[in-house]
Amino acid sequence: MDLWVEKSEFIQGLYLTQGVVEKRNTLPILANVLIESTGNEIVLTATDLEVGIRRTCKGKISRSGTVTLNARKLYEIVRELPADDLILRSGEGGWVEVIGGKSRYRMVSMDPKEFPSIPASTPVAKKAGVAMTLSAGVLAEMIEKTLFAVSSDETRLSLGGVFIESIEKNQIRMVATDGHRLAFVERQIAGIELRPGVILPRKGLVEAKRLLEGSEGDVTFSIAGNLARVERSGVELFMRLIEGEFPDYRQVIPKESKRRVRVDREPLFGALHRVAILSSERSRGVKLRLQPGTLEVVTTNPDIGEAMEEIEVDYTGDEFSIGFNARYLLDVLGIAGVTGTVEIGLTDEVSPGIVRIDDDEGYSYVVMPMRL
Amino acid sequence: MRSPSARTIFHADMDAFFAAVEQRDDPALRGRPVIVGGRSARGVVAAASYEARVFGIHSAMPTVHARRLCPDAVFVAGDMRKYRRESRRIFAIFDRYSPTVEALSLDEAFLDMTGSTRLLGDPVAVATRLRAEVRAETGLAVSVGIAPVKMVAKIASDLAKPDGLLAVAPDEVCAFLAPLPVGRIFGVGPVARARLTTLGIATIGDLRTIPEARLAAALGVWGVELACLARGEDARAVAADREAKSYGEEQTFTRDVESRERLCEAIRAHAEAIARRLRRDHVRGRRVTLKLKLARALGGGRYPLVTRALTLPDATDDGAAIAAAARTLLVRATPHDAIRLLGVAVSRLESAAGEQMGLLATDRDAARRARLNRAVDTIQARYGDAALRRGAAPAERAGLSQGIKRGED
Repeated sequence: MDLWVEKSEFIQGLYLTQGVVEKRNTLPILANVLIESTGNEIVLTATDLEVGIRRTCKGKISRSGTVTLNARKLYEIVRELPADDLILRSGEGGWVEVIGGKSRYRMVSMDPKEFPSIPASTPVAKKAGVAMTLSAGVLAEMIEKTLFAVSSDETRLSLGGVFIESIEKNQIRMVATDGHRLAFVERQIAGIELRPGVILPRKGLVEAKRLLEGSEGDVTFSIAGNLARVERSGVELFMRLIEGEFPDYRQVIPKESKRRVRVDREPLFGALHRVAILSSERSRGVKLRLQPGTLEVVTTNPDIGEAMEEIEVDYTGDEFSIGFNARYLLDVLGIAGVTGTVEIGLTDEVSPGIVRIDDDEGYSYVVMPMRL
Repeated sequence: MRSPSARTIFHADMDAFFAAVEQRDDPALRGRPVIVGGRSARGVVAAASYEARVFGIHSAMPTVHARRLCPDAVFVAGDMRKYRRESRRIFAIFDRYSPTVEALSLDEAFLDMTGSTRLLGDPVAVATRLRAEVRAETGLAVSVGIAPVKMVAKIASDLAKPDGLLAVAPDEVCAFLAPLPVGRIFGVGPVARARLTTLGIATIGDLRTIPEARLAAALGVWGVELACLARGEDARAVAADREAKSYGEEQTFTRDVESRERLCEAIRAHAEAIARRLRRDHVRGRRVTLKLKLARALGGGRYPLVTRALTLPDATDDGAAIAAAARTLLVRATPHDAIRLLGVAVSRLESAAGEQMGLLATDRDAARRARLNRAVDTIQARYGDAALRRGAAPAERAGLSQGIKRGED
């Protein structure tokens, strides 16, 4: 292999591999990026067997070939090199030279035959699965509004991802829950349909977010077999679907609430954030005390002290108080910048609360209270 | 002369604790060699009465071996629940003597008496009173070592046994330690002893004659620590960490077990027992550890040990949740061998206040189970454990299960 590539082009590709490569080092080859070069294309591939990414870069190839190099090290070297373009050249005994200006690095390539195969980049046949096109911005937004509620419980694998499905044509939903709170987003998109739903793994979506960062235009999202694929120009991301049944989320979203509070996001976020400092480190329990026009955020921690903040709210109901894990509220108040208003629907101290942001009918966040 | 900064530390150690409890409760056992331990072919000696020790029997020895040494010994399966109850009574007595009590196990503790003797009087008189009180209230013997540092107190109580008291004054420490073999120092095992022998060191006194630098060269940083200990310098304070760090149950199977079903039964029995203790103490745990000893012997009575652990998103005191986590770990450990011992432990404990309610149907089940658990606990507390038991309770009950571990993570 002997190739020339622009540093900026190459670094973009390597950046995308960084989150994918295996961190636990179970199989050494999974810490590597596969670099294939033919014609005038360089293809970078990384996978941890659950998630895979493939990025095509333009370059000039004088001798085609395939090598695999440690993805972290290569990224760090290339990022630091004071040159605008690079030469990668394989030599005897598995050595690969990385040359940029007057800097020369030699890295060891592992045998590319050891690199696991990931699905070929062929368009998904209509029969074999579903494929849809949607705006990168919408997909990124839907991921951001649900991903944080995914469970980290190793014993409940089906909650370890975001459920995506359509209930009817031209509509798509994403839902995530950890058993204490649930985030639900629904968007209308012409031509879209995904039935039955599937569970997308957390790690795959973290990478999808990275892939969609600042990108405009459309992406293709498709499901085939047990793989989901997100594709935009020159990049494909694969992820293995989580098997198992996602719980019936529709049952847990309250249809209506007895009490409704409207409040600006920013002061509520600030008060919760500060009061939570004194809450129990494990449970993060805070109490919300409502009176007409005001909301008190309170916590008592026998070991450290007490905190109380009062904010003005739009509330006309009776006096009422309820406990919550502050983090669960902060998570939702913090998404996509702390601006605008929020409406919280509450029924009683043992029933789920429901949070809506900026009157977005397509978004619901359901959170169970704490007994304090 | 006692320097003003010198501390007074008691090491109180019950004599042949499990065996002594059995002898106390069954007059037929008194004066006879009694061995507490798994009665199966697989078990090890958990405790041996002094009558049995004469035959060379000691704890951790395979029961089979003990039986060969003393065929007439009485073998008792042991009742951990009873020993734990006794332990609580004994520690309640310790607590009267010092606010700083560091439990080492169910039957052994350090007491920092530095402040207490100022209040209660001469250490030896105080220790005598403490020993008499334990004897009067529990019918059991406790040996006490008194010294200015922990290590020396522990050695002293050991030398005082059985049913004795030995005090080492601050200015006697060096003379006391000098003739003792180096193996008396905690942490000096066969390997270190062999290395020290090559340096010509047999006694703690020998250790003092060697320049620290040579010890450091031979044993690394630990050599320096050893030199300090040999001079009777042990800076470790008595850590009054009375709160349990983990709750565990384990069992050596009568016969090696391969069947996943049987392993899951054992997991459930352990998980339920742990959960009950967690609830009794009003704590919950977040981390679940599964411990497996494989049947494939390594020689020397050792077996490969596999441990796997995971952290739950929420602390629990529910047996079903603990069992589910342990089963996940069992799958993860994928043992191909037969299993000799299976243990479950729950750690990262927190107070049970501030309960997060669940959203999903399965969590609602958890809430229902929590109510059920409370009801079962109430009934068992009133009418005994046998009054109510979970369906399909395993045939093989946990035998001598491990107690609360203190001071460990």
